[in-house]
Amino acid sequence: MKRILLIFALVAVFGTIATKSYAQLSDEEYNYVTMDLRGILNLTMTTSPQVDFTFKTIQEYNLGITRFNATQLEVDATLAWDLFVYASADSWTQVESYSTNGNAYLPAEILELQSSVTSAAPVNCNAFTSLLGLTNSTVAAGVPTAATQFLAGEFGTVAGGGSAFAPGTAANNPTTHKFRIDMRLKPGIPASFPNSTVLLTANGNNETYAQAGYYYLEVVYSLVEDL
Amino acid sequence: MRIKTIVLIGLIFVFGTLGLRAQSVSFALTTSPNITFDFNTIQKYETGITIMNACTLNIEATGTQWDLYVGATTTNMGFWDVTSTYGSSGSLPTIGIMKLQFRNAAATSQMSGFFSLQDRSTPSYIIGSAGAPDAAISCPNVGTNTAGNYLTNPSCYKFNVDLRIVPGFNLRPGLYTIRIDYVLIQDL
Repeated sequence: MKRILLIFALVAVFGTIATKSYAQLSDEEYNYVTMDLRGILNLTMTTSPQVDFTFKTIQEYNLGITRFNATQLEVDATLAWDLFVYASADSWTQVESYSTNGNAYLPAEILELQSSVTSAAPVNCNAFTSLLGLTNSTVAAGVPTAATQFLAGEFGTVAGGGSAFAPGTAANNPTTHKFRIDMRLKPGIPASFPNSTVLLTANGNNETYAQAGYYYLEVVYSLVEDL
Repeated sequence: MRIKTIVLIGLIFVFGTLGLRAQSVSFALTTSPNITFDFNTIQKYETGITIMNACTLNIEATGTQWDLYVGATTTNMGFWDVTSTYGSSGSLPTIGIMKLQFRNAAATSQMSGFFSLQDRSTPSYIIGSAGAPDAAISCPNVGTNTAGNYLTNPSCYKFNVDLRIVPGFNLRPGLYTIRIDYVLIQDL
C-alpha cells in the first residue's frame, strides 16, 4: 500500500513539474530597409543667360556700364560645395568689326565681376575684379586649382584645411546659397579697358585700344562638391 | 496489477494536463520585407519620404497573453549600416531618423503617431512591456494583449506599419541599410 501511494505521489509530482516546463513562445518578422541618400548639386540661373553691354555714347565709354544683378544664381546641394567662375576662352570672340584700326584681341579680363556672397578663397570676386580667362584661371578639364576664382568655398577640402559651403537650399539659406553677380565694363577713351588685369597687347598686337565691333564671351559658373 | 493501474492513471493525468494547456504565438508579415527609400531630389530631402502600409503584421496568439515590440539590428549600434558613401562631409545617419507608426482599426497600439526607431536592446513596445506578466487588456482597448487572432478580430490583431524618413541636409550622402525586427513574444 505504501509503495502504491509513493509511486502515485511521485507520478503526480513529476507530472505537475512537467506541465510547467516550457520555453517562452515567440515569433519574429523583419523588414530590410535600404536608404539611398543621393549626392545632389543643383545650380540654377534665375536670370537670362545673356547679358548685353552696348557702348554708344562717349559717356558710356568714359564711365563704363555696370549691370547690377546681371546674373543671379541659386544653389541647392546635399553635399558640401564650392562654386567657381572662369571664362571659357582667353579672349572675347569678335563677330563683326566696325573699324579697321584698333586691337581685335580683347582679353577676358576686361570684364569685371562682383559677387554678393563673400568667399574666403584667395582669388575671389568679393569686389569688382577682372574675370580670369581660361588659361589664367588654371581650370583644366573643369577641375579648379588654388589660382581659380571662387565665388564660394575654395580649393582644398574642409578636412584638408580648405573651406566649403554647407549643404542646403537657396530658399532656406538666401544669404549663402543665392548669388547676385554684378558685371562691369569700363572701356575708357581710347578703349584700353584700364581696369583689366591683362593688357590688350598681351597677344603681341601693339594696338593699345579696342577695335570697334561686336564681341561675345562665355562665362562659366561651376558648382562642384567640396574639392 | 494495481500498481500498474495507478501508474497508468498518473501518466494519463500528466499528459492530459499538458494537452489542455496548448499555447502559441505567431504572426505573419504579409508584404515584401524589402523596402527602399530613394532620396534623389532636393524636395525629398526637405519633406522626407513616407511609405504608408509598408508592412502588415497579422497576429495569432492562442491561450496566452502576448507582447509586441520593435527594434533595429545593425552592426554599429545606433547607426545605419554603411554600404557606401558618396561624399566625405556630413554625419552618418542614426537609426532614430527612421520613424514608425502602427495602426489598426481599434487603435490598440501603445505608441501613438510616428515614433523613432530604437535599437533592439531597448525596443519600443507596441503592446505590453518589458515587465511581465502585464495586466490583461481585452480588445478593443489600447494595449490589447489577450489571446486572439487577426481573422476573428482584425481590428485588434492586425497592424499596418507606416515608415517615414526626413533626412534633412546634415547627413553624409551614401547607401545605407538597416534591419527592423518585429518581435511577438509570450507575456510571461
